[in-house]
Amino acid sequence: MEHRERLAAAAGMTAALVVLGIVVHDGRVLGLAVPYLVYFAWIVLSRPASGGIEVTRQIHPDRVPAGEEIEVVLTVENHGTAVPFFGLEELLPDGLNVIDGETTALAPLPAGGRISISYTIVPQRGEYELPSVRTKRWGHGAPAPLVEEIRCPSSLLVLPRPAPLAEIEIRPRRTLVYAGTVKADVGGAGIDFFGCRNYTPGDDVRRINWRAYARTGRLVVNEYEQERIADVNVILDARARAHHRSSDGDTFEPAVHAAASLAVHFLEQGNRVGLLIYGDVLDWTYPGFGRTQRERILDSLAAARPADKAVFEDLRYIPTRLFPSRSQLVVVSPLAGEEDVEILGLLRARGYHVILVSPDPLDRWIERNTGKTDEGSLRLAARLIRLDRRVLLDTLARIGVEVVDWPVDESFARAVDWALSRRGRRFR
Amino acid sequence: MRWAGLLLFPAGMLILAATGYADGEAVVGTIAVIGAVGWILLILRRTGGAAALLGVSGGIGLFLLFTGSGFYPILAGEVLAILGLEAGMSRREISPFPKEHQDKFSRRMLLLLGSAGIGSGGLAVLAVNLHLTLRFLPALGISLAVLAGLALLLRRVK
Repeated sequence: MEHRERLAAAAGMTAALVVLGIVVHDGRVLGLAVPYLVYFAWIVLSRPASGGIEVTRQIHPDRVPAGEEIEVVLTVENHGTAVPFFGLEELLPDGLNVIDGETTALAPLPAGGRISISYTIVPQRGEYELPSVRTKRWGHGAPAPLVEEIRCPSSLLVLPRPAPLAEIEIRPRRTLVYAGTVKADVGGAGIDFFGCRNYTPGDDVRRINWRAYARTGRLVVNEYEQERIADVNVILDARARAHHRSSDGDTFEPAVHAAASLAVHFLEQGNRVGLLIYGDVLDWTYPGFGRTQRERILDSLAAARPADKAVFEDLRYIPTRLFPSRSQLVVVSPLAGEEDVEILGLLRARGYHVILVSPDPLDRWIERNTGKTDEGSLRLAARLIRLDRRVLLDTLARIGVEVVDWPVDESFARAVDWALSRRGRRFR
Repeated sequence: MRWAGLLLFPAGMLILAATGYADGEAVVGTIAVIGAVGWILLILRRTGGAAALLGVSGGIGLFLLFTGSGFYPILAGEVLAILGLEAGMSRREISPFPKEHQDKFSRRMLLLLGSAGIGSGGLAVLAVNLHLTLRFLPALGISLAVLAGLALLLRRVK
């Protein structure tokens, strides 16, 4: 662009002065055109030729959890003629913070030579594309460089880092056949007492209830509640309208963190876990078990971003047929309003066991705005928002949705422990 | 390079301003001063449109030439303005690179700018003082040579 700007200025002035000089028959005007003509010729004649440059980028590793360091090496090889000065600029997208090394270089590049730069980045969660680099070539005695963007596409996947969670007690009405940690409401082998039944030959004699036998004269055996695995589906609300966004941060990143932590926790407990990201599209990770599923879910969450689409304005279009009936749903959403409460109530009415994890940015917002605006108005606004939110969450709790109200500045593990663990429930 | 980019163009404009004031053209002198200040702001705020100021300097030079001011101060002002424009643009183009890399480049560029300034200024002086009496055929030859040169230049641009 600047090359054109230079050319236009020099050519325009030269032409204007030459024409004017001829028209007015004044040699001094023509003389004044000489420096502009020289400048124009200088720019045009010294322009370097394009081509002959090969750029390669190596990213190691290219799939990491957020906060890990990544080393990038960018190498330029010159297969053409020597370049007196060669500039190399890495074009980094937002969210990649360089902590060490250089992302640019300006040096002579002889024929057959190479320039290499390396830098270390600590990226935030996300899916990054690094499509090209910008190069600037100055020819021999050239004032203006030849600016090119050379393609060398690379991609980088930065996964959310799940927090370890201590215990989450879920009670879906439907469980799977394999042994796990979810109480199945069925008698059999387990830990917690479930009931008694008549003795049948072959029962373990250690399970005979001798007190009952003494009282009734019939042999009965104790049964314990079976613990099995369950279907758990995590729904991440990625509608931009539901998320609080400001320069200080938003609720989307905490929501992704929460979804990752919950999904990984349920997988580690042996459950079959699926993930639905509900935003401008429905990104559905089919339910599965184990480590492979963990990586699939983290990959999906790495690429998640908040977006709006009119058709998915409210949660009405959650595709419930994807989820087995009476299974466990975990919805991670800050809630956009009363209509969301209605939809969650509907899910509950259909027999799903629903947990709502709701990131709350209010404390952070108050802290960041204290001193910037009128204190009284700030407090009043915060109180109104809090009351409004309280009403929504209490309504949900009344209809049987388990609510985790999570102030985002606090530890997610602690909030979950308080709201969903057996110990937390006992203290509440 | 930093200082050259910042000060060469204003220096040229100030020469033009001084010429204007000396010849009683206060309005033109003031426009030149405004142009100099505008350039500094433009460079410091890293906004585009630097090349447009070259038109301003050229216009001022032309106006002063028509009002009978001396040729040499105007020529000096114009040459400095061109070198300033180039230095300013180069400065912007190398700004993303590390400081030590910029220094090597700047030394070479300043040398180039100095040579270009002296060369183009000298050529302009020569052109003004050269008086040739041409007959038809040599004049036609020179005209055709100039046209061919311009055509080659334009071909390079494309």
